[in-house]
Amino acid sequence: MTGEREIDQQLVERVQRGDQRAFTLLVEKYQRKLGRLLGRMIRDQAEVEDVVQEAFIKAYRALPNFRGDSAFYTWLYRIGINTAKNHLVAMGRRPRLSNEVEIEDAENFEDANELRTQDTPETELMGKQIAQTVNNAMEALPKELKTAITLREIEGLSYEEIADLMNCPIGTVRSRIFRAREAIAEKLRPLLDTKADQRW
Amino acid sequence: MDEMKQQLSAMMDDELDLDANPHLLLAAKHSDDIAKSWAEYHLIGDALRHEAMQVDVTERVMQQLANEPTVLAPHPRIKTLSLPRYAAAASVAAVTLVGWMAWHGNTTSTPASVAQSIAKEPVAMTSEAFDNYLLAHAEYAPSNSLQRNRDVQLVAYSEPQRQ
Repeated sequence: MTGEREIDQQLVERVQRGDQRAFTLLVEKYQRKLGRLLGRMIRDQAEVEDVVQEAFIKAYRALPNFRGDSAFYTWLYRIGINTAKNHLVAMGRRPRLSNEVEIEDAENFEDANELRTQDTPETELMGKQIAQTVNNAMEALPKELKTAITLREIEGLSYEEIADLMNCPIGTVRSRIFRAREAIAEKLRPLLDTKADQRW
Repeated sequence: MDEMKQQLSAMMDDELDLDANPHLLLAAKHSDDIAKSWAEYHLIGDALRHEAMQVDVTERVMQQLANEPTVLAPHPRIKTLSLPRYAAAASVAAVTLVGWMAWHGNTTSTPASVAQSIAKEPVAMTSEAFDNYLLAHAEYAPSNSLQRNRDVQLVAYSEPQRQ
């Protein structure tokens, strides 16, 4: 098993060697979390997307200077918060968060579940449809798959810890989590394909 | 394809080393199916954690990056040695070298005597041997250099004999 967030660092090093595709994987991974974080500062959904995009571009340009002293997502969230603050100042609005709260948010953001922004009716509907589809797919999973993916995605346990809890080999955990993801993705695809012009 | 997707699934959980499985990144680059799975799996995770804010800027970001000059450069992480560590390493290397020379030259010699014996050792090449060397390599030398080099060498070679 590799270290926590090692995959981010490996992707970052590839981007630093000129591999733009590796950066796409990081964008796909963090855009929603970054959007939720910035949604605390910026209410308008369209503006949030603009700022998220700008933050990723700034992060890309700054990546040669990223030394890996902090986790990539912490670094990215700080860029996002600064970008949002600059955006609000440019729009003549006052940033809503103090520095202390911002740093805490950036470093502990994965545990923050209460963040909300003002969605448009369309994006709100989409969000509800996705959540409903994922929940329904979860309920339909065999118990061992549901337990494995819950322990991984919600509890954040490693495969080794899940294997201990479920009393099975790590390879079985790996297979169960994959099968759970595929089963949920299968239910999700028609929804995502239908909304292909309104990507997530 | 399923095996690769399973590896991708493990990779996003930090349970598979990307450096040891570079084919996954290649697959993500060249297979829409794999790239789609990466996005879907992360969306599922975010949805389960109630983090699925409806943001998708991937296309917009990549379009913008396509117009950017490639300014990124390799930046390997090199572990630097501090000065005391360099000094210690150099000391160990020096002691090892002297010890090795002493062992192979004269097992009863001290490092100092080995150094003295090396310094006192006369040049072994004779004039005849040197001539043969120059003749053998004459075709590689520029014109007239054979005689000039020999003159220079003869003077230098005669020096120890005058002492």
